[in-house]
Amino acid sequence: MPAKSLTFEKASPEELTLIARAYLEKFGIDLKDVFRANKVIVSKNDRMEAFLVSKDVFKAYEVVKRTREPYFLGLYLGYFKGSSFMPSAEGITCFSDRLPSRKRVVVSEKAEQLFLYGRDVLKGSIVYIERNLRRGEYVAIVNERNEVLGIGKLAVDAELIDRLDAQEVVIENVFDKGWYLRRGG
Amino acid sequence: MVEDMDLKSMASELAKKYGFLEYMVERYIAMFGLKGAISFLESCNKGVKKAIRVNNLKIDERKLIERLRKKGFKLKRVPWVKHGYWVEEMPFSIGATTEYLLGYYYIQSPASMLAVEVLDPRPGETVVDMAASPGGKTTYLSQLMEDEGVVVAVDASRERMRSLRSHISRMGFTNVLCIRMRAEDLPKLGLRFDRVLLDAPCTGEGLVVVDKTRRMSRSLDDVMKLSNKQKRLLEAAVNIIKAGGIIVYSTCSIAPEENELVVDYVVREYDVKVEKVGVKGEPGFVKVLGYEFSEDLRKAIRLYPHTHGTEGFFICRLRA
Repeated sequence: MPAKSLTFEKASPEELTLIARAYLEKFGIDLKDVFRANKVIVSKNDRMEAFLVSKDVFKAYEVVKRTREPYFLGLYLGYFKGSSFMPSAEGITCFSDRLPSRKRVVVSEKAEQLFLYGRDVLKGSIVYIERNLRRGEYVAIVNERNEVLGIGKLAVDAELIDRLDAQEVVIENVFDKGWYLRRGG
Repeated sequence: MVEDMDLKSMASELAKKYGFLEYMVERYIAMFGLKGAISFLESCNKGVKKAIRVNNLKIDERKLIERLRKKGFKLKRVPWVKHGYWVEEMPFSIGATTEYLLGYYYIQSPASMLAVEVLDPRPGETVVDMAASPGGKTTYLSQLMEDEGVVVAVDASRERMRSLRSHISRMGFTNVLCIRMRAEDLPKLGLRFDRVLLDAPCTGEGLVVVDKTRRMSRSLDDVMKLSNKQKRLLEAAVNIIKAGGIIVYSTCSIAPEENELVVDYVVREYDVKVEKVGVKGEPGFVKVLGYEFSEDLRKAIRLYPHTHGTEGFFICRLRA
């Protein structure tokens, strides 16, 4: 089946709420003030994506929209999945100064490379993790310089980590920035 | 007559020696003189070094250079661009570092960086990149604009759009609006721009230094076809620029038909003027290969592998 053509629309209040809640609940990032100062545009095709745009970009978008659909604009915030929203690594990186330390898992330099090759995070690779993280929670994977490498999802409750071998997976790789090289083109 | 014969046989010999089509070498002799042509051909066999452009909005330039140095990369400042470094030594691909994935730099030829610097975009302006993929110039426009204002990035190919999006995302710029469309149709959009960058699709004859297949694959007919397309594109640029705005026309071709001939046509037909580029380079041609162009074309610049260590490149700045 051919892909639907891209169309873009201003996010509805319900979509905005969903995006804001996802950033807050999944990563502890509050975007209320960001949404007041900028606009959010949503693409409506097979995969619904959300983009944060400045007022200047929004003005240009409104002119373009009269005759064309854009392809991509502003900051990619993430995508809708059923009735939920998944924040993007680009969004998490852009607002990384708002990430609470609980939502950062620090990995070693060696693990940084492996994670960027698409691998999961093993117990032996972790330099810092908060023990109150629960299985299924999302975290930002950062290196020892505190730079965001991607997004992970806890495979076990962090409080159980001491019982694991160094080679056991603690965090599943959801998205790593090696993607830009492997798939981005 | 005898001299013509000598030049013809000389061109034929050089073409064989360096693996070029004969007509190309004949043209190089006409453009650069025999000595210059040999120097150009010789430099084509040496290749050009890779270079990177540091994203100073994301990282302190010195810190990045030091991080890459610790990984075994040797980098040297390109003195004639703002954020460019030659990669003198690399222990592995410069496109496979964590720093690259974090968007701290873009692998880009200094000639391409220069085209953007000549446009001189400012924060808050509305700027268009008429041939945007894969994103080197678009992301540099955003960088120089400090990610403020708007960069409209246009390209017709779906495949190239993916790559454009990936590079913009990797580099972390947020002031870009990408549109998949033919740049010739830009006047229909209804937007007017403070600055227009047209790095036009071309034969890539200036890339003979990095891609040997281009030494044998382009005919004069290809050059003329592209020249006509380039004229249409530059006309579109003239139709979307605000009064007093700046257009930069560039190509990675060294053929006068794709450069001076195109600009000369637009300068004669429309109310735009060639401005000094303001950086060092070989001047544009005003009389070459049987053509005579406006004297103002001297203000354009040409870069070559044997003079600048880059691919062959043409940059011209126009004011509406």
